[in-house]
Amino acid sequence: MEDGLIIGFDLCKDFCRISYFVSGQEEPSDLVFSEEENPYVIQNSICKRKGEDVWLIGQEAYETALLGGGSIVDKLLRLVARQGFATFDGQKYSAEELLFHFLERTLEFLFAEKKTRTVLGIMYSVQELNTTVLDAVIRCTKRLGIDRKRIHIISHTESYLYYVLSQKRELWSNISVLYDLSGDGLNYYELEVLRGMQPNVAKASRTFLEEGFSLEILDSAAGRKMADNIMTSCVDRMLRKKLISSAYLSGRGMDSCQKWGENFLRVLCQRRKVFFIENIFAKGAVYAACEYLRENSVYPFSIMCEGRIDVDISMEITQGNNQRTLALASVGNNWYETKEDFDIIPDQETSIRMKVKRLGERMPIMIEVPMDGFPKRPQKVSRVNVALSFVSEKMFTVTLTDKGFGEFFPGTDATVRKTFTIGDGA
Amino acid sequence: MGRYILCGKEADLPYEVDELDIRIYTIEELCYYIYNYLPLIGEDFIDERLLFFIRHELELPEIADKIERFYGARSEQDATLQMLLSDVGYFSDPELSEFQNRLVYRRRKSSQERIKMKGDSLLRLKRYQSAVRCYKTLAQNGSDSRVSREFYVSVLESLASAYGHLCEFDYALDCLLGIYDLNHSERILKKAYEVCILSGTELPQSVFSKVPDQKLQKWQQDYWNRETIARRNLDTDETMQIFLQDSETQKKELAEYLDRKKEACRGMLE
Repeated sequence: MEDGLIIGFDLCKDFCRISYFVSGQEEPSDLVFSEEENPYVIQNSICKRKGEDVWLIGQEAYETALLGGGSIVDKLLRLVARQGFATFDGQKYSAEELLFHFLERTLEFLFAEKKTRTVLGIMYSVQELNTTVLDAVIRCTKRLGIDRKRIHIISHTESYLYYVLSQKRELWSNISVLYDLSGDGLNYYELEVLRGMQPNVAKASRTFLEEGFSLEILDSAAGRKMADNIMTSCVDRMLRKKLISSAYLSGRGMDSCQKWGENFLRVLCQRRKVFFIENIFAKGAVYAACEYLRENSVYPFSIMCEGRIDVDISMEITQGNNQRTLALASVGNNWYETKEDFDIIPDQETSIRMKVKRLGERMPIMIEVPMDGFPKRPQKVSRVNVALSFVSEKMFTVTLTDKGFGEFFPGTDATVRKTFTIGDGA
Repeated sequence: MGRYILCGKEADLPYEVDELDIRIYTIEELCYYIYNYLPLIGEDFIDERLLFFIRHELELPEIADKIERFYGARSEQDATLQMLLSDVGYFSDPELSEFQNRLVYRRRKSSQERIKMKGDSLLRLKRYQSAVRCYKTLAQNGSDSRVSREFYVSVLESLASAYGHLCEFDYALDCLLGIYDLNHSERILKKAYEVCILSGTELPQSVFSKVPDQKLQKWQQDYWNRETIARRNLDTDETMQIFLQDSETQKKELAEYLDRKKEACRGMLE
């Protein structure tokens, strides 16, 4: 592999963490942002110093704002999701512009420490795959000069899956679980390798647990006791009948669990290997980024988890003199990265038909997008652009655009768009 | 049953077809052009420019190599074209059979007849300047014994028509008088008379002095009648149509129309 950085960027709603890998390392390293209480975390906040074109992030942003040196925007990703704006020095900035400066400053920590700006791959790991945020993240990263092919995004669930599968086999031979306790609540992740399929399926899922509690209760003795009780009952209820190979703990709430979770840890550690991993999602993202850079996978599994689709979508086409099936999306594909764009010429057809087959179902169903509003022309002189993309794991859109037929029949850009929900007629 | 043809790459630099003043961007458009404009395809159609376009612009090196090998070995352009159309898969089997029949029909024609077919196609496509070039090539070979008098006459008549559309009435008149010299046809003489009236040219006395006044008056009347009908149909004329559009479209279409005319004029000067 060429020299350069492989970056795992855990981008949460309120903070982020970075792990990275450089040639010669065996394990990903965590980036240290400061010497403060939690050195691996930086808050998603940005401040512009008054009267200067200087952007500050994290703790530095808070300090500057507190001293009246500038105004601050925190919870930046929420602002991006709302496509909001903020005003600094009387000038209006879009959330995306602020995100760009935030990512630039954040990655600058890494570039400065490693004394290189060569990025072989960057994998963002996010809790929610919100298209508005993801698109903005991709655009901002491209603006930083990183080639689009080197930028990827996965869910926390997938990061966790890659992290666990990159450990010794004995740690995932049965079920592996993760409790992530942060300001966003308590999330439970579970990974299981389903054997007997060809290839075997590594399936991971995430469950938001209603039992989750605010981290502020850990400030009092009574609160700590309550947290211990909640987590103990959670573990007892959820893991009692399961064969667990490994259990992981992560998140800001878990870094002090030895202080408040005596019973919880005692129950969890019974006949199980338990690990506290500081940057599990960022590290998992690094492993995933490495995997994306390889020509051949080192994981002999088909992957099923949040962010991956469970359908095959295809179309029968003619290429040259051959009839063949054109695969547009396959089970296990990352929905955000699944985008197809190609041109076809319909011959004696007034609509575009595709085959959709869900995992586990025997028969595919046919979906149809009529070319309504397209100009009437003789047969075979309409080139139609077909664009397929997902808006979530369960929803995809097919867009048809009339491109005409060169200068013989100029295109009109007439467009038809249809959205399908998987399991609801598609 | 219908089908969907998966398209290949679109060229960044198109293949220019001078005869049609059109640019081709895809292999499907190239096939469409070959199939629908066969008379325009000259003997030298398969050349380095075409092969470069297919190989590098359309990124179809296998097809370019195959054409090169096939054409290099047999020098049969028709068979090579048929192979190309068949390999690309744009046309169905019945369409390919029909194309083959047209190739056979064309092959039976002499080279002069093929040039005439090309000229006629261009005339139908209103590519008058290109049509003139084709007809002039044939007209210059008028003395060739392999060319029949009837064929030569039909070439001159088409040439006169093309010149007429270009408002080159002097040349059109020369062609018509040339035909009259050969066959003394009254129909041709009447056409020559109409060209003279249309262009305001004085009637060449050497020819028209022998025509009775009564006949000339009859021809004059016929001309006026046709002119009246033509004026009545002006609203379907291309230029009139432009002026019926809204101002934005009118501006755009007028510019395009003038560009076409300028192009034709530049061609005349070449």
